[in-house]
Amino acid sequence: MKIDDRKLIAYVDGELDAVGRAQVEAAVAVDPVLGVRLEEHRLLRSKVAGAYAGVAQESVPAQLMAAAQAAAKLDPDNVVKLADRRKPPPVAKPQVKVSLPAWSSVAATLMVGVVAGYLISQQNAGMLAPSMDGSLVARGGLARALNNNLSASSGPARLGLSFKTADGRYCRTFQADAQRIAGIACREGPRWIARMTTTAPAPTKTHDYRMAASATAPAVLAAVDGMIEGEPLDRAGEMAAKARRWRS
Amino acid sequence: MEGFQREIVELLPRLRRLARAITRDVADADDLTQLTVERALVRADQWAPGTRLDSWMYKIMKNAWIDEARARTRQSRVFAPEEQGLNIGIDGAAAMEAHLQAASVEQAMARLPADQRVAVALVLVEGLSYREAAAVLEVPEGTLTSRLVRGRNALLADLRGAA
Repeated sequence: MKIDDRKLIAYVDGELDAVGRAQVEAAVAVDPVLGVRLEEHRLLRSKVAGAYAGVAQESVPAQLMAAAQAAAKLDPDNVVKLADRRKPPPVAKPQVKVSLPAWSSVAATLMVGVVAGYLISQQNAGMLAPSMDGSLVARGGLARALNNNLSASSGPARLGLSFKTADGRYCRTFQADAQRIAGIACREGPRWIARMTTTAPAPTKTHDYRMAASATAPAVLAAVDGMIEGEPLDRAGEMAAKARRWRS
Repeated sequence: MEGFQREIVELLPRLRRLARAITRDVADADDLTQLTVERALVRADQWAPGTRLDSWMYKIMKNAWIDEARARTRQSRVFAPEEQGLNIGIDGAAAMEAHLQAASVEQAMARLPADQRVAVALVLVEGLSYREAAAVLEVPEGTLTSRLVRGRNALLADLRGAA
């Protein structure tokens, strides 16, 4: 069966039904070139999502917040005219600063190995270590948590959600608050390899609804979106996977 | 009305993110977001409660942006705008390197034709389904997927060239 770009991309976007997915998977299994193309489109999806993921974590500018909040108090006739929109609004409430560094938006796109050296030296000795092939391998408390803990349990490294990728690997999102790192680690052979890492938001009483709704950093969720096949594992699924020692 | 407005406030981070992906410029993105919010508040009675507010506002943003782009007939920009430089410098080399990665994606996005860029932004950045994205753009799904395929192949070619 010939798989064109439209179908391959629909597969990456999760838009195919079970039959379509099976056709793509069967074609990829016998055609390495198609497999590379699939990987490229997967990576592109997570790169593009990651490039903008941080924007949603920035604090909303006061002027914009005021525009959204203040207009209700005005007459409909008094709503700011479009041409005047660059003028400061009459009530500009000071914003609660979300304590994220400005560059967190770009940190969202960190791919494997890009900042390995930096991460090791600066923040997370004991959690992640580079291996011979340049990948980042989970160590110590992080490796133990990835192996043993179910999602939402507490500890120095917290697990957010567990899922399978299209190639059948188990991956888990993690966050180490003390080290301020979050990311995704996937089981490869006996090891957990970090597939993506980012700066974790500092634990803070932010009123950002996304943070309240989910303990997983948005940048990490965006990357999960590009990798996940099907639904995240439920508790029973995690226990079964753990019993198999997370081997695919 | 109160609830409607609260929901808009909650949508602001996502509206800013979409605006950033389609305008290529921080200041333009916030102007577009503000314009979108103002139009939404003026037209609050046109929103059908129970339908998705985010899709409705994305549609307003798309139309506002088309109007704005027509008014300006601006040349496409290849280089990252100056403001983005302000984001650098907090944490040295790692931040710089990450910035360059994001910047190259943003620049590749900026080089896409507008209709492809908006399609890519809705599906890849905002995570909309094809059906939802086609509804926002008011085009058939086939048109949306054509734009997605062309846009993504152009991005791949561009990013490969840059690497």
